Amino acid sequence: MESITNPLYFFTGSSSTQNHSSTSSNVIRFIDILDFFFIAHPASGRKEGEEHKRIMYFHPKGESVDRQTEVTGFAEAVVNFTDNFLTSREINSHDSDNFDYRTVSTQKTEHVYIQIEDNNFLMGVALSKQLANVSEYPLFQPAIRSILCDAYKMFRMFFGTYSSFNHQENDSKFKDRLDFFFSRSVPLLKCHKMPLLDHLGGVEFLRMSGPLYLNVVSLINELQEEFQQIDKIMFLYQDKLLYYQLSRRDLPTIFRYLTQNLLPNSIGPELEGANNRAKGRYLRGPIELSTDEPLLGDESLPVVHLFDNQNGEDEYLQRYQMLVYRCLNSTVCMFVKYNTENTNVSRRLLRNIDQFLESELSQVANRIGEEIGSEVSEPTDFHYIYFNPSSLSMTSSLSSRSSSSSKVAIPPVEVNRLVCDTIGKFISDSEEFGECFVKSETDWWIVVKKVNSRLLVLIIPPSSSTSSLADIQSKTSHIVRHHFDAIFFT
Amino acid sequence: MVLLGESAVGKSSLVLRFVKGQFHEYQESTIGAAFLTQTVCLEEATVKFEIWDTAGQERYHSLAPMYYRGSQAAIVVYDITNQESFQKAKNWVKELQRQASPNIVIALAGNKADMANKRVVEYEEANAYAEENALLFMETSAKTSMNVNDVFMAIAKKLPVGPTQGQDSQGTVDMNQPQQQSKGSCCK
Amino acid sequence: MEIEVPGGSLNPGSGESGVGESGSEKSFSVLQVDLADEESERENEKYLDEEKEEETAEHLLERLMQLPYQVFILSESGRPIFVNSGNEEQLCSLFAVIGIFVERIRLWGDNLITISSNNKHIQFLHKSPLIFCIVSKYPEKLDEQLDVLFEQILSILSKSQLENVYKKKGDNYDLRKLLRGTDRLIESSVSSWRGSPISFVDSSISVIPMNPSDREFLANTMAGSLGAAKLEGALFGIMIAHRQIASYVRFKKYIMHPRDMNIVINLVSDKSLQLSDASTWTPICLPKFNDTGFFYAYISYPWQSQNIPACLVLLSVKRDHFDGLNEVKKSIVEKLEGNSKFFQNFSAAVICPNLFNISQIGNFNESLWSFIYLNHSSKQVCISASK
Repeated sequence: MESITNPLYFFTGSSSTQNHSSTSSNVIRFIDILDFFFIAHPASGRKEGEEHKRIMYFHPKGESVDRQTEVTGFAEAVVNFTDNFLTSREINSHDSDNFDYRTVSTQKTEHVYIQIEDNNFLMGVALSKQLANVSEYPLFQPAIRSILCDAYKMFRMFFGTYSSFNHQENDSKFKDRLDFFFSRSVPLLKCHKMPLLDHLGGVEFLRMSGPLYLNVVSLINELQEEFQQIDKIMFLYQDKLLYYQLSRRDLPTIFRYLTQNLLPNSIGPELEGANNRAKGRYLRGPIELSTDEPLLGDESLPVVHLFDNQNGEDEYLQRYQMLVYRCLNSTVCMFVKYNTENTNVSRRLLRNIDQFLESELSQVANRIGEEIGSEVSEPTDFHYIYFNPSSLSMTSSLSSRSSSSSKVAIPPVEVNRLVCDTIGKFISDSEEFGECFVKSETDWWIVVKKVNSRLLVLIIPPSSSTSSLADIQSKTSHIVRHHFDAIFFT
Repeated sequence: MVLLGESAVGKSSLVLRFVKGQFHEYQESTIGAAFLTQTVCLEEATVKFEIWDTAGQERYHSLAPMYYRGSQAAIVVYDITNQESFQKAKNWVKELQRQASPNIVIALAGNKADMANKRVVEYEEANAYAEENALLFMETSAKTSMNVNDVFMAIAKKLPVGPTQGQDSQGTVDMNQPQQQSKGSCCK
Repeated sequence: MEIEVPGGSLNPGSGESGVGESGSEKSFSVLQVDLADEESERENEKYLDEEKEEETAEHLLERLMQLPYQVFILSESGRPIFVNSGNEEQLCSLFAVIGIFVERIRLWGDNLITISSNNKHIQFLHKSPLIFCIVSKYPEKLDEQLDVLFEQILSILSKSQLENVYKKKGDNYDLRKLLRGTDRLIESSVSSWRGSPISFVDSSISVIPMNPSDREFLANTMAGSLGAAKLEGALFGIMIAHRQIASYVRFKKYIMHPRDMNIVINLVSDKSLQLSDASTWTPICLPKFNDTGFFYAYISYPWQSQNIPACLVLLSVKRDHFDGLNEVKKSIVEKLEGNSKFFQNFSAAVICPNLFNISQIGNFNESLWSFIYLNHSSKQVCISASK
C-alpha cells in the first residue's frame, strides 16, 4: 500500500459515528441491513475453473469463495438475461452517471446491481428484508441503487476510475485499493429512514438575501483573479452550500464528503479553540505555513478526481489538489489542477491564500452569521421534502443534517414506505407536473406536488383538522404559501 | 354419431363441411367435444344426424367413451400425410370394437386427400385394413369437399331403418346406459 | 336456487325456487378425469411438422420483444412448455436460464420473486411442478397475472393430474403433449386480463350493463329452468357476453370464485366455441372450487346466427348431464325469446354494451368524472363512462 501517500482522512472511524448519534434516529447504518456487497470484473472470470477471479471485492470478508463466486455469477447472469429483453438503445444508454442497473427481489432480500465503466465492472449489493424490518427501514429499490452509485462515485473521486488501474496486469493493486476504501467506507454508510432522501441525493442550499449572495460571489471572483491557479471553488456556510463551480456530477459526492466526513471531524478542534475562531485555517495539509519546505507525507494535499469540460462538451475526469479553508462556520473549498510534472500547490501559495482570505472571509462569514441568526424558523407541525432537480437543491425536515426542525416525531416506517411507493408508482419521473394525495391507514396524509419538475412532499400527522380531502387541500396551500412561497410556485 | 381421431387430422373440418358447407384453412382445435345436428333427406327417409365432434388431444382420451358409447356410428379420421395419425386411427378402431356398442357402424376416413403430393399413407394400405376390419372406407377432403357428404350418406344407409331415425336423443350418447369402468379412466 | 343479480336488484331472494333445495343437502364430489396410460411412442415427432418455417432464436427473440409482454412457462427441469409467441423450442436456452435462476435462489434457501431493469419487469412464480415467468414493461400486478396463468393451466389439467403426470413420467416429461391446442386459451387468459380496465382490482368480474328488471327476468328464467330440470350436481348457470357477466345463478351453498369465473369466461370466449347451432361439452377444472376435480361445462351461443354474442354456460359435476342441460338450454332460450320486450332489450344490451352512466348513482356531485364500483362480497365491478 506504499503508493497511498495521501493522508486519507476520509472516514476517520468511530468519532464521526458518535458525532451523529444524537440525530441517529433519522438514519440507520447501512451495514446493519447488509447481506453482501461486491465489485466484480466479469471479464477476469471467463475461463472455466477461474470464475472466482472476477471477484474484486466482497463483503462480508469471511464468505467462502464458492458463495462469492455464486453471488457474482448470478448477478452477471441476471444482467445478461435481462439484456435479452432490452432494445439496443436501452442497453447503450450509459452516458453520464446514469448507470445501467438490475434489481432482484427475493422473499428475503433486495439486490441491486449496477454496471459501470462501459459495463466492464459490476457492483452489487443485497439487503436483508428481515434486518431492514428490525431497523424499521423501508426498502426502496431506487434508494438502494443511489447508495450503491454514490459509493462508487466516492471511490472514483479519490482514486479515479476502476479501469484506470489496468487491473489485467495488476489485480492486486486494484484489489488493495478497493479493500482499503470500501472496508472503511461501507461500515460508515448511512441510510435515511426516509429512503427518498438518499434517492434524490440533493444538496442543501443556504437561503439568503440577494446583496449577501453578491458579496459571496464577488469574494470568490476576487480570489480567483488573484490566484489564477484555482480552477474551481465551492463555498459552504455551516453544512449548507452557497456557491459552486463544480460539475453537477461531482457536487453531491463532494458535498456529502465535506458535510458528513471532513467538517464533522474538524468541528471538534474548532470548538476547543474558541478564541481562535475568527482566524481562518486549512482543514487539511500543512499546519506550518511559514517555511518553504516541500509538501510531503502527511502534509501533502489530497488529490481528487473531478469532472471538467473546459476542452469541449464532453466531461472528462481531471485530477485536482483540494484546499479546504475554514473560518467562522464558512468553508471555502478550492481545487487546483494537479500535474505530476508541474510544480503543484506550495506552502507559499497556501500562505498567500490564507493572507487573502483571512480578513475577507471572516467579514463575509460574519455578515452571513448575522443574517442567518436573525431568522428564527418556527418548527413545523408537519414533515417535508423539497427537491429541485435542476439545481440539486434539497431540503427536508427528515434529513440527518437538517437544521430545520419539525415538532412532529419521525413518521412510522409504514408511512415512510407509503411515501416511497407513492413517488414510485404515482409520480412519473419524466412528467414535470403531478399531484397526489394519499391517506395512510393510520391517518397520516401524504401530499406530493410536482411543479416544473420541482418536487414537494408533505407528510402530515393525524389530526382532527385534517380528516377530509378538502381539509388537507387547504392545509397544503397554507403550507406552500407560508413555507415554500419563494421556491415553489403554484 | 361420433368422430374420433388424432388431433389436427380434420375432424371438425369434415363436420363443418357436412353441416354448414364451410371450410376454414386455420380451423381452431376443438375444446372438449362439439355437438352438432344436421337433417338430411335420404331417398324416402329423413335422417337426423346428431354428431359429436371430439377433440383429438391426449388429455381428452379418457373422455371418449362418454361420446362413443351409445353412438350408432363412428367416423375414425386420419390424415393421409401423417403416418402417426393412421396408427392412432387403428387404435381407435380397436377401442371401438372392444368397447362400443357391438352394432356400431364404423367408417374410416383418410382426410386431406387434396394434399396427395405429401401422402404417406397409401390408399391400398388403408383400404386393405378397412376390408379386414369390415369398415366403410373413403379418402376425403374437407377442403375440396370430396367424399364428405358421401361418407356420411354411406353410414346413414348402413344404419337400420326404424323408429330410431328422426327422433331426438337417439343415435347419440345414451346417458341412461350404465357406464362401465373403462381402463385408464376413473370415476368417483 | 339462489340468484345473484349483478349490478341490479338488491333483492335476490325472489329467485329461490323450491327445486333447488333437493340438491343443496348433498355435497357434490367432483369427478376426476385420468390420464390415458398408453403413450404414443412417436409422439414427439409430430411437433416438427407443425413448424412452418425455421426461425433463428435471435430473430424470434427480436419479434418477441415487439410484444407488450412475454410469458414463459416451464417445468422445474427447465423444459419449455409455453411462450406467447409459440416456438418455445427455439428459446430453450432462455427457458433453461429461467429454471436455473429459480433453482439458484431456492438453493440459497430463498424464493426468487422479481428481476427488473430500467423499464422491464420480470416476475417469477414457482408452483411445483411448474415455473412461470412474465416480462413486462409495466410492473403492476404481475404476480397476479402469473397466478391467473397457473390457474389457467390447472383448469385444463387439474392439480392432481398435473402432479401425477410428472410423478408417473418423470421430471423430463414434455407437458405440451397434454396441453396441445390450449395455447390460445393460455394466451388469452393473460392478454384479456391485461386488457381489462378492471385488472387493477383484485380478482373481480365485470358486469355488462343491463336494465335491472331485465336482468332479474333473465336470472329468474335461468334459475327456473335449471331448477326445474332437477339435475343433481348442475350447480351454476352463467350468461356471458363480451367477457362480461349478464347473469349468474348458482345453487345455494355453492359460490363461484371470481377467478374461476374468469376461467369460464376465458374458455367460452374462445373463437372455436362460437358456432351457431352447436354446443360444446367439455371438462373444466375450477381450481378455487376444487383443484383436484372437473366440472363439465355445457356451452352454447344460442343466438350466434342472429349475431347476438351471448353465451350460455351451464356447469355440472356430472359427466352425463349433457342431454339434460341441452334441454335446460332449450327451455331458457324459449322463455327468453318468448318475452319479446325483454329479448329486444337484452339483444341491444348484449350486441352493443354501454358503459354504466354517472347519472345512475345520482347527480349530487357535478364534478364527478367517472366511477368504479366494486361489490366486495360478489367481487362484481361496474365502471362508468367518463363525463
